[in-house]
Amino acid sequence: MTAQTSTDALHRFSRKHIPWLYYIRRPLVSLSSFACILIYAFLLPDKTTVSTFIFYLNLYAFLAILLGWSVVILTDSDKSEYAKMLVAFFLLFMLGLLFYRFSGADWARLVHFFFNFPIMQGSWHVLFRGLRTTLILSACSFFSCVFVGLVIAVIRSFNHRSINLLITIYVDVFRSIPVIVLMVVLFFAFPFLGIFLNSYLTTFTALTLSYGAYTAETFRAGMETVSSGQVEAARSLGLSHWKTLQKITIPQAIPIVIPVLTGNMIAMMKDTAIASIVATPELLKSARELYTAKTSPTPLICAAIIFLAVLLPMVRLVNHMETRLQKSGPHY
Amino acid sequence: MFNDYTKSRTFDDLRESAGRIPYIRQTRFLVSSCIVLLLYAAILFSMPGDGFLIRGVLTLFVALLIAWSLVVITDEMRSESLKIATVFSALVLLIFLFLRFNVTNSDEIVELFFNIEVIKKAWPYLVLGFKTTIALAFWAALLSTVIGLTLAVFRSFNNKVLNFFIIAYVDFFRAIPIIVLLMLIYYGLPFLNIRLSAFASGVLGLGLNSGAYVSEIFRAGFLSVSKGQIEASRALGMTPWQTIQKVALPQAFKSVIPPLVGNYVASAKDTALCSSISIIELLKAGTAQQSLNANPSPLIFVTVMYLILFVPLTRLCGYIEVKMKKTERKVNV
Amino acid sequence: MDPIIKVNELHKSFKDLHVLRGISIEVQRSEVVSFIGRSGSGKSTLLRCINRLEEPTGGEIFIDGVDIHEPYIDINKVRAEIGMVFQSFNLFPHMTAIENIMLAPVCVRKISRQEAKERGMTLLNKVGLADKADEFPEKLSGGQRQRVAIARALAMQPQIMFFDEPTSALDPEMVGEVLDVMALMASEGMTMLIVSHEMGFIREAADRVLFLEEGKILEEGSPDQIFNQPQHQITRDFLGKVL
Repeated sequence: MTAQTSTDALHRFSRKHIPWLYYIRRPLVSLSSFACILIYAFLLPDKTTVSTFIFYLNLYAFLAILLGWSVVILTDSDKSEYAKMLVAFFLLFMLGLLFYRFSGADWARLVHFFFNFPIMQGSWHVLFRGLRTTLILSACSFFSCVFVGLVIAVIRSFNHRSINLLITIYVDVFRSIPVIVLMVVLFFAFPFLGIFLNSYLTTFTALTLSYGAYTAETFRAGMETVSSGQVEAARSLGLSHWKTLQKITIPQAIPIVIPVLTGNMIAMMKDTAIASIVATPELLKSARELYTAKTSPTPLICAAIIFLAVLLPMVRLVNHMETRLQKSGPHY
Repeated sequence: MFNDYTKSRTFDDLRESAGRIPYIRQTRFLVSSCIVLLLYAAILFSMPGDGFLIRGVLTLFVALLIAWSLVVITDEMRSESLKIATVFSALVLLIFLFLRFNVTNSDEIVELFFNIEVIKKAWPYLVLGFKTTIALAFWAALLSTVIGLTLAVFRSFNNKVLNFFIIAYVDFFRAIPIIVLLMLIYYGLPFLNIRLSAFASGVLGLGLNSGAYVSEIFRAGFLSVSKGQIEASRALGMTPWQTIQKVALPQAFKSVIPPLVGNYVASAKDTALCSSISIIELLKAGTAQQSLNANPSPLIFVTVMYLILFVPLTRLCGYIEVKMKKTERKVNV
Repeated sequence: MDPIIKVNELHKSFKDLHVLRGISIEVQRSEVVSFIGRSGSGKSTLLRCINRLEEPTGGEIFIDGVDIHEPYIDINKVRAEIGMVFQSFNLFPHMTAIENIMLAPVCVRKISRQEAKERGMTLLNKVGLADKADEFPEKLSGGQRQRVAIARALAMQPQIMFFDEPTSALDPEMVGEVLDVMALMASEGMTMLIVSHEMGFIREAADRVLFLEEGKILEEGSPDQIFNQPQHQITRDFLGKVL
């Protein structure tokens, strides 16, 4: 069957079974519906001119038609890439336009309040001091949680039932309690016990305990990928439990564990922002203080930008590592 | 070469129970250091309760105790019962030390932390907080599923323009801390005359963040259905809708459910963050009641509630993951 | 001469499954003993109990007169004297062939890396793989991997070698090269315990054959006796299927 006849057959086939989809996709129909959509967009009523019900009805109907039309075109494999990109641009543009017109926001004030340059200039050095605290706290907590996780993983490898039970209890408890709850309890409830932890210690302890549990699970998963046959071979050669861990299990677990650990570190850096609740002078807290002092949300935006600037590259790095790991091939 | 071995002295060594093990692990060292530690503890107990010096000495003792216990626990030659005895004695010793050097009286602790009266007073407020948490978790999950599914579907069109924006969305919301996002929405949007209630802000923030992860999960689910099977079913004459319904969806389902449930549980835990934007959810209820009554019992109660809620849920997630893996029939076709 | 291995009334249960039901054996130095039987009869379990990869639930095991279940016994030292070759090779994928072989002598026998490397190269030569010393296991064929595994076990200069179905996972054309190495070892006087289905090899190389059935030794004797004059019907049925 030549290509030509097979396409014909396919067209006959699709015409027989899904006629309406075929007709909708004809270029004429697409263009005319595009024109209709444009006209409809212009004619959409404002919130003030009609009743609320009509307004929302129109709005959602328009949205549905817009989305439906773009989906039909985008899933059409006969259309060129170029046309589809135009359609995508148009869709996003329309959505943006809708949001701009109808969300009730006062966009003129956007720059003045959110990107106020004089306030920005005054904020950066305070925010960077906060960032420094954030980074130092994250780094310290990360190292200690890796240490805790490693110790737990090693103890677990001995496979003693009762000790494993204690470890399981610890891991379950600290994976279930949200980090903010832990910080609040350590900072506000412990003083009643006579244990006064300052805000740095609270953050450090909460992050270490919490992420130590996650890291322990990560290490366990990594170590489990090393087949038990290799461990048996190593033990039957006379290698002690420690030596087996050192030479066989852990070297093979490390490449698997590193992307996850980096992901953990990213999550931990994000969670240092929670420490602002317990009065740690880190980035978010500095931003909030500036917000209160200058009654402008610009410092918050600046803090968000700093967070993104630090964390986005790391998120991309983790993505990259994960794809590379999957490509590196099977281990046996 | 094969019969080049000499009859080694190993078995003679073993008969004499000799052999070189590191000094730390030898029994005589462990026993003597144990005695030293116990003496140290006895001295500690008889020392005065206050002062800066005592804290340093106490921390040193705790560190040594933990190190000694670790040496015993990680020794492969020692029996399991010895190790569990060590762990328990160390824990008991630590508890005794704590009770001895604590400022608070030991019977005060019950009154402070497990005060039934205070909890009874705080109860209606706590119940309100609990209901709010459940509502937050539910609506955020709903929003995130809608967002995530939409994004994943549009991602599957493989359109460069759409992909760019979708990837930007996902990276943005994976990088920004949820608490920063919540504050931006709650404190920032009113400046634009967008006035959302605190509850709506919470749902929006949680939903936007979780939506990014959900879209990645659905995308992985879509990709997990091998293209070959779709082609085969279309070649058999099935319509696109039938293909989706009978072939793609059941398989994507299997790979989507475990991480999705995990995501919902994680999102539910994140509702605790909403306490920072004055939503009266469980944590906020606990802290508010604690300040009101000057008694930490409500907060402890709230912590226990979180444990009761989330330990089973986390275990459930693990169970679902295992079950889905078991029913996965991987055939090389 | 005292037997190098002596097993007394060995029992092993896995939860409800009673796999070994009172096995008693003695193995002399330089003896080649082979275990045959149906799958599930406990042959591999027996081997793994003797070097304590599995913990027996009853009975005693003496190696060179030493009761290996005494509390003060460092089992690692015992295992250094017993080399084991597995059905699934179990080479370490993150190390080259020569590194696989060098690992244990350096870590356990504490010899220098130089000496370990020399020993390793000699062994690789002996098994015919000197040119593959720096290859990673994933690049080797099944037969080559198993030969490296044998060299790895021999690098420790053990007094006893265990073989747990060493050729069962190999393609037929590679079985011969492994069996040749094993025959060479037998001729040079190594004490060997072999679990295998290669009846031809067993008939040639083994000094004694034991037929296991349901965790007990059903029959015992020289290869000639077992293969040509089996006493029990079960033995006859089994041999009928495999020969």
